[in-house]
Amino acid sequence: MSIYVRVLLRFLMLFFIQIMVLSKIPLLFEWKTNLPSYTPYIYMLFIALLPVSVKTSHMIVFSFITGLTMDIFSDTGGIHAIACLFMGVSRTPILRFILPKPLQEYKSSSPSLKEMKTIPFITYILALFFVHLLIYYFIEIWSFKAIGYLAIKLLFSLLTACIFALIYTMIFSKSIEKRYFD
Amino acid sequence: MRNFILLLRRFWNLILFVFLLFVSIYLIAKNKKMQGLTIISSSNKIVGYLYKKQSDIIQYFQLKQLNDELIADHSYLLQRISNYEATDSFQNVLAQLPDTILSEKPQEFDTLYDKTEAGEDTIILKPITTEKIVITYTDYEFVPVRVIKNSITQSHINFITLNRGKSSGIKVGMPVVLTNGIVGRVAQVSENFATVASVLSNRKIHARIENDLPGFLYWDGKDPAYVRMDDLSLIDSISIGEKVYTTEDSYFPANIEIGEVAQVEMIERTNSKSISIKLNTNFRNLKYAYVVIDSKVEEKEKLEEKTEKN
Repeated sequence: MSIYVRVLLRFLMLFFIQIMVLSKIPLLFEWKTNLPSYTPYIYMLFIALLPVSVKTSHMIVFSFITGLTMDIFSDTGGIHAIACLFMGVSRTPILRFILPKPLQEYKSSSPSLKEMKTIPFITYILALFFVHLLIYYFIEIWSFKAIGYLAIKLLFSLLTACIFALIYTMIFSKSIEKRYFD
Repeated sequence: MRNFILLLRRFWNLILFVFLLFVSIYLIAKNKKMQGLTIISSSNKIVGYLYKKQSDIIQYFQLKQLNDELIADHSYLLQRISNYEATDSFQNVLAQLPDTILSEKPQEFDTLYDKTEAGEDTIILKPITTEKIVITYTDYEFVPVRVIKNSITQSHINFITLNRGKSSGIKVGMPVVLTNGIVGRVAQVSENFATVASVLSNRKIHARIENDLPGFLYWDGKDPAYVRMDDLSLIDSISIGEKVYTTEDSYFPANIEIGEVAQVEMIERTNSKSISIKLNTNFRNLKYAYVVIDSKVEEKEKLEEKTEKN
């Protein structure tokens, strides 16, 4: 299968899961008092799983389109788009920091559980999702007064999003583990 | 052109990022009310801040002109107010007397009589003139002047120099006041300047305390912020904080606030009270004043002189 088809299929798959399932189940934790409910987000995994060799300009455009699609479906104006833009820009520095070899040597492979080993991959996902969710919740709450609320919401949704992302990568690991040559 | 394209290519990622960022900010501002309002209002705030700074700078250079305009406006308003204060108005009502008292029925008042059907004259009192009569005692004109020299250190009499003189209609003896305070009386006039003997002198000024207690003010030559009033009766109740006003008997326009009572002393030797009054006028920092030109004062003085001669 060509890399384009794979990427497109992953895009459709992630958005199908996100919009049809995850957006319908606002999660609620009870711990002493009721914590704020939130939606688990997973669609930004698409940006995280793009091949390492994607150019920065393409990266920016892809992130914007991803965020905009989510915005269109969830009626949030452009908040997801902004969050995804920042996430897409910060992807290359994070990868450079986490991967042991220079990025040029990972010519056409995607970041994956197998390729990066478990702990680096989880760190990578956590860092990217942290950037995304921080900006998303900051713009959504839009207040410096509710900074504790923001922190709680950020922490819980970050953990849940990472768990969901890991489950997704485990289920669909077969296609990711392969090297793409094109 | 080639360099420009190179530049574009070099910063292409940044340009793209910023462009898409603004697109999403625009989308947020358009669709989300809360965030949008903040974005729009904060951008308005920045614009407003810049405009305010600009106008502040421009205004600084116009301050002198603005000040002069304000003083001129103010003098005009003072004039209007003073014209209302010293006036009496009443209606002149004359009534037509009944027919029996008049020896002859005047023709011009015919219309005032209504004949009843029985042929008897009814007595109708109708006002003939209803015009309002207004009497003004004063006709003040307040001329704004700048203080160009001021002294407060002489112990007997202090002089102030003003920037206007004969050419502006200022004459010797005219009072100089502020809105809320008195300054002095014109002592010498030249073509373009005038000197004023200020209140800070041993010349006495007639004044009254709030509850119509009359007395004479004078300066004791010590503190330019305080004047004294002596020889008040012991039974008069004067409390600290009462206001002191000018009277008609002084050469100042009546009812200008001079200051307030700051200290009350009993003097056993003369069996009297003496008070010190804090002036409203700040003589240390006097910049502007008004010379009061009263066009009716000459007439009044002439009449008074005549009466004294008789």
